[in-house]
Amino acid sequence: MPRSMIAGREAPAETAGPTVRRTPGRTPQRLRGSRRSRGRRGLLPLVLLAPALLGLVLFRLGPMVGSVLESFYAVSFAGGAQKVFVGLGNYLDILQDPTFRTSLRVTVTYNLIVNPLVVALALGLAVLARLPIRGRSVYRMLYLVPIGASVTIACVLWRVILDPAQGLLNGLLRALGLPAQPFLTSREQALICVVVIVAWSSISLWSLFLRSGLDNLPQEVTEAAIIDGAGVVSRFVHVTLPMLRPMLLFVLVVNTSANFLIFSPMYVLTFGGPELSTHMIMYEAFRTTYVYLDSGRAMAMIVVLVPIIALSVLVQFKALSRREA
Amino acid sequence: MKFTRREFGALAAGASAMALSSCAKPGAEGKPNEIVYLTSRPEEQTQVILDGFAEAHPEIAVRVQRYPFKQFLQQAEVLLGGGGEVDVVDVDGPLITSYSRRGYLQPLGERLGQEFIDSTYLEGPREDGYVDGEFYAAPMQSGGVVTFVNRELFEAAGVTPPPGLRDLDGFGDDELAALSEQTWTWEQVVEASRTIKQRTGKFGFLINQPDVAFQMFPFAESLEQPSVSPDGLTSDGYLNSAKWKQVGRFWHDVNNKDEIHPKGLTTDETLPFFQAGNAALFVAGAQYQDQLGPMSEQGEMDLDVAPHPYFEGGRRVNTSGSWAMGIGRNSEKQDAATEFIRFYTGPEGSKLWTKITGRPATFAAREDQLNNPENRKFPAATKLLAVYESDRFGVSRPKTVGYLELEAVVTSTCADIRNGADPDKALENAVTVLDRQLEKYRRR
Repeated sequence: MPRSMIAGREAPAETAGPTVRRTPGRTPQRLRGSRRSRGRRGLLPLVLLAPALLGLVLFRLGPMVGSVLESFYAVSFAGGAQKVFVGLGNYLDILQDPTFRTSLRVTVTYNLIVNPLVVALALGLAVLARLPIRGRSVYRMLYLVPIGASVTIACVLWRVILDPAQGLLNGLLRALGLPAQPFLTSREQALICVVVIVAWSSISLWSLFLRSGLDNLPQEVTEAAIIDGAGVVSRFVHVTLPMLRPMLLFVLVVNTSANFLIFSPMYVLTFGGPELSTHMIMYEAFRTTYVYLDSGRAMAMIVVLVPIIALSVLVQFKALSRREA
Repeated sequence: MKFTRREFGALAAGASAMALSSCAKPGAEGKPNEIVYLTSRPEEQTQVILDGFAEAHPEIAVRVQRYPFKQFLQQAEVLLGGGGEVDVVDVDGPLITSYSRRGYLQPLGERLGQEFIDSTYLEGPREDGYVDGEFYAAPMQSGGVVTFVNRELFEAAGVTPPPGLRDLDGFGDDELAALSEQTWTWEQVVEASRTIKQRTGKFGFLINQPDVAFQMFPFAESLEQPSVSPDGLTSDGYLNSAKWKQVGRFWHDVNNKDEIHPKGLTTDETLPFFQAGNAALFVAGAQYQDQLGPMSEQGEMDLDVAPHPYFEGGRRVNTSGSWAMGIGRNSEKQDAATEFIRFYTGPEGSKLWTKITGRPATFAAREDQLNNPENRKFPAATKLLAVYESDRFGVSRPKTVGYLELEAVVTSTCADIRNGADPDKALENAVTVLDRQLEKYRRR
């Protein structure tokens, strides 16, 4: 905002009261007072923001800087446990580590599947929720049920459903005369199961965002398209979707960031297995910290993850803004 | 809104006070003789000993910090590795080496006194407490695994069950020795299980902790195969040896080929699974007698108890060593902490503790258990069998500074094998991962 606008906005309050005669070369008493008062007012926002800023520094910036610094250290056991500076040693080590490389591949694969799937399903649900059909309010209420369960709770719930020996789903399959499936105990099916569980627990929330986005689209444009003879599909693709792009971008970016940091399904359900098929970076970082007791190495993993997330967000921004241009 | 200088000063002082108070050392306001005890044990297990200690030492207060077992190791790592105030901490036996090397524990030997240590603790659990000749942790309990037998399933399948406590006329050493000599091999377990599966559709046997390494080590120990090198820093040539691969094939086949052991079950689920009559044999800690014994007495299960199986041509094995207690590195109340450990793990506390867990780590508790007339009848005699077996055939888990890493890798490898992975390949991969992790202990 231009400075003049700020000054302009403040001017009426500052000049209220008796008129002060300006003498060239001298600062009027009233103006000097105003400057002090402005100085105090300049401090006031800082004072009010201080707790939040302090929180940001203590709980965000501090740990971030701490993580980067920690990633340059390792523990040496020569003469007792001592932290030693290893420079980029941890980074070189993890890049040569087949387990880390596998976890990187699994994390990227998982994100390539889960993010488009969640956004597409959430959009589908949002569109369905706006259709003027009978029982719409019941449907709207039912599809919001998963919001009540966190991913962790969803994992516990799905564990019961997917248990290969006594699970609900295999019971159903057997009742239908179909073969029972290994689900989470199968290298081929485990990642798909995790995708299904995460999608189930998150699409309701994202569909709420998209529904509010759809509700706020200007009706005039849609009506103009109808007058121009555009069909339902054509209207959706060429009118609704482009206008919904900012909300879609928000949902995609936040969902992607959350999914790159996903941890609970591995901790609760798969422990990264079978055969590392669900071994994602955050789980490997957790194991490295708390099982292998090598926090420097774990921090290096997380630092490596940051530019990957940033890159994926950048690609999403570019992809969705290019069309807008 | 304007601030006067005084108001501004008050605000700044308030904010500073808040910031400083949040930085204060946690627990700094604790009472002079209050110690913090970090444990994963449920209240119903520890309360009786805490009450006993409060009576014997009213001058020392104990503040218990309890975490669920699954999160306990992480919490202990955070608190001991950071600046957490922990005076006394429960330590799993094989982790004593790792914790002491990291400086998480203070030496305990001099504080307890050599005479006390030698005259109190049984040899196996006592040895687990030593690292490089220094005593770091006092044992709370020892091992002791038995095989619970559901005779009804054997009868339904027309298979003779393994000899058990119910075949004995008494429970003295002679009778237990006679029973011990008739211990089934794993080959016999597999053969009987196949028939049971075929004729009843139920599983032949069930390991109590099939999802963690704890009960996998005795398989290899039965074949006299260590999992790591004597210095504990290499697994190549050990974890991928022919004998460990034999263990891997056994574990793969019983879960996948013969399907006589259930897949997918976790430790928490195995007891109810056995109680529901889904498996004929349950290889588990003797403490489960507390849950299964009443079922037998009330006629809900035709129960018997047999010794832990072993591989044909191999050696008899049982578990030995279990949890211990040490003094946290940040403790400034070592005297009070030592008194607490002396009481808890000493003759008095261990008798109380053994009544709950059934696995004595002290001479006094063992004598108490052996001489208790209550234990001279079935099913309480399960405790006597566990003591007999653990005394003679107990093998501690591998002693290495990298035990956490070893346990994690063996756990995930055995889980993969259980889920159908090729055992030879899985064990080779395990060695690659583990030796990479053990590298940091070799680093200078």
